[in-house]
Amino acid sequence: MSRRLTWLTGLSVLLLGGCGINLPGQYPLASYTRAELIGEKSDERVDLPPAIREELGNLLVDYFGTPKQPGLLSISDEQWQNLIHGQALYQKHCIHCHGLNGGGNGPTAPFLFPRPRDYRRGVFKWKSTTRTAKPTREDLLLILKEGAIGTSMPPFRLMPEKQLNELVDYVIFLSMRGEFERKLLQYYATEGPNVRQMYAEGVSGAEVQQSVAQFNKELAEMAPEVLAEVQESWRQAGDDIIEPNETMPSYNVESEEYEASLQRGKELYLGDKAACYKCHNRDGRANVADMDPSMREKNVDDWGQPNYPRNLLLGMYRGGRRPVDLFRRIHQGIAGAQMPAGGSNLKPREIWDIVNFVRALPYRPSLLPQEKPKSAGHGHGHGAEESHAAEDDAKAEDH
Amino acid sequence: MSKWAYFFLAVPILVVAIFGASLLFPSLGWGLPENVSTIGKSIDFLYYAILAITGVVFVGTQLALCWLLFIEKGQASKDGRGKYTHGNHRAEVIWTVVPAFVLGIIAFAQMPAWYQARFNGPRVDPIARVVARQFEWRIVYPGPDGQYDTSDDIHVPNELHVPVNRRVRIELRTMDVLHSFFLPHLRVKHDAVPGLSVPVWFDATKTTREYQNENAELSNADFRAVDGTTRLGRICVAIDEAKTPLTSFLKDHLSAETRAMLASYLVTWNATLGAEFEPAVPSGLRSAMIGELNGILATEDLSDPKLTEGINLTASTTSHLASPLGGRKSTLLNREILQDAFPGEIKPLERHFDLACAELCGWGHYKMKGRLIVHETQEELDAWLAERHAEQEASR
Repeated sequence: MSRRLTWLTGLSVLLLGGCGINLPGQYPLASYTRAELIGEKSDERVDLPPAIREELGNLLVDYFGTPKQPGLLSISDEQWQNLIHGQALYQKHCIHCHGLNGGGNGPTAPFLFPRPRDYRRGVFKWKSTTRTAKPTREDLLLILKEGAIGTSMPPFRLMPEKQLNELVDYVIFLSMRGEFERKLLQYYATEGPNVRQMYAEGVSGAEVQQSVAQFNKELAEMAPEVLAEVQESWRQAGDDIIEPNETMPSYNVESEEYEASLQRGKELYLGDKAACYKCHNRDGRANVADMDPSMREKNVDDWGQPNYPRNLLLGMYRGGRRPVDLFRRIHQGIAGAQMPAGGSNLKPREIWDIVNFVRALPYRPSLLPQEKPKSAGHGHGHGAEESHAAEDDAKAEDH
Repeated sequence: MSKWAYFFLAVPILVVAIFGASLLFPSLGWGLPENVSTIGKSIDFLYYAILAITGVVFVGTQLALCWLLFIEKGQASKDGRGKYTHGNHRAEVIWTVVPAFVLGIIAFAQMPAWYQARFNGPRVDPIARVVARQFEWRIVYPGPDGQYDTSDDIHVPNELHVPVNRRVRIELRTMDVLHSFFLPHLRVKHDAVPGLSVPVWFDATKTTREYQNENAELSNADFRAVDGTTRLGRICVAIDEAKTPLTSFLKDHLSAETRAMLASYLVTWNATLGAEFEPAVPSGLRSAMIGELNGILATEDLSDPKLTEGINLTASTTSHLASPLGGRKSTLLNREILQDAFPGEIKPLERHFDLACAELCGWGHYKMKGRLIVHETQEELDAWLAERHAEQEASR
């Protein structure tokens, strides 16, 4: 009898065990180090006293709901429905990389390079807006539809438009929630009572409790403003779109004007005005091993992940391959990453020249001086002479 | 031992039942998908022939196994031991020669199909380069200049576009691991091997549009399950929001046709309705409404010609009411009713020819699913490519 029971239990565990993800009752509270939160040089985790932790948790539930019942106070019923649907879709397609909170920390994330985006900073790389602005809905839709080539983000092109929009709603929601949480945590890290230190200094329990209660009150008072600020930044995204005020000159690829544009692009690339070569190297391959060690150490993005300049010869552009995408990338740089904005000291026409040049580079690597690969067996070849590769019809080896 | 005999007996019965169901109820989607290629017929023939041979042998072996288990039991009970046999030259010759003969026949019978599938390729330039990658298909068209690896290549993720009725060739590659390019409707399957560029060719004899038009009629089970219930749910929500008494709502807002439709759904799905409503309808209201609707609709005589004007409530409807899977005609009827009741809300189901990774990359094909779009003419394909190219060259 007991043996049969064991069998039955075993079988039911096998059959039912793997089904579904159990959503926790609340979004877990984010844990940041002081360095991540306020940029101090300290790896110490920001550790909240239980009372403040509880208050913050309650605030977050009040403003953003729970994973099963996400919601925002100010939204219409229809938007709320979208969030519910978006949550279900997110749980199916996104959660295993981007994580429950959108922290880019799902179970698959540790195996990926580059890491999935952590939405909680409200910083997005691939967008049409200014560097500090939020992306527009269209930007998020585009990345969903096309994927980000060269990363593990697949395209969801086959998903119906309605579902994509619901996912975008939920991603924006998670980002708002993450930023809201982060801002309140930042406030604690800078202004909050350090309970442990207070006790160490011999402050009485009653006083500590009073200052904690006072801080909780402040948190609750500032919360609506913080939320409004975050929401406003998303609302404004559409006003901050970078539109090239000079259209891209259209060249015939076989014309001399085109060649001249490529030459100008090359000069800018290798010159000190645009100085692309400083990171992407003189050969465009951005070999990390060849990089100045001081640069290599600095190459960490806002999320603390290694962040290397792109090998331009691969012709893979994560944020989109359209000329306008590349224009925006050069104009505004890449938010959260090391790529600087070139818009202030480059004229639009010059940026278009660089765009032309960069787009041609994968197919004509000889546009830049390519070093011969160092052959291990031979003693010579270490002179690092810049050998100009044969001719224009040379194709990129990487393709 | 007899318990085990029953267990082993269940296996062939189950297998035969599943196979039978896949043939008898195509709407279950357990059988082969519709064939839309010229080579498909011979592939399907081979598939069924091999399935028949192995199926007969499998069922026979299983039955023999069960029978032996029964015999074993009977003999063991007499003297407590099983009966052993060892070495039967004739049996060995038979079980060697017969399978060899069958295999020989299959080997010769499959040669024409194999030749068509793998050797007799069209001597044309590849229409596209299909690059597999976890978990996506990156499809590259040569662009206006007709050359690959130039800056005007057209990149499309997960969508392969080809013209109808033309044998096209693609160049299959992979960026990471072994993938398998699988077009189930075209009976094409080929591995993408790292480091190799594999030519694969196929033709589609039906355009996507044709397929969708025909398939919308056949997809009744989905259609009803997905659309019928949710719409019924929405009617209930609408009734709730209108805050009008149910009777007057039915009279004011719903046409006779919609009421008839409601009636048919209620009859068919009375038992399951509660569970399938959209969660927005509170369960108390739901059951109350179902009860009330049932009551009202029961008093309306469905055979009243005024109520069912324009609807052919004959054999097709009754069969639809009786069978949970429904018939082709009845779905058309339902869709017309629904379209009438909710203009603009109901579109034909968007069905596509699948493109999947047969190495089961991703989660049950899903994460690496693409689609094959078959265009009516070369011009239509060119127009689509030009559109995509323009999109890709956007400078504003």
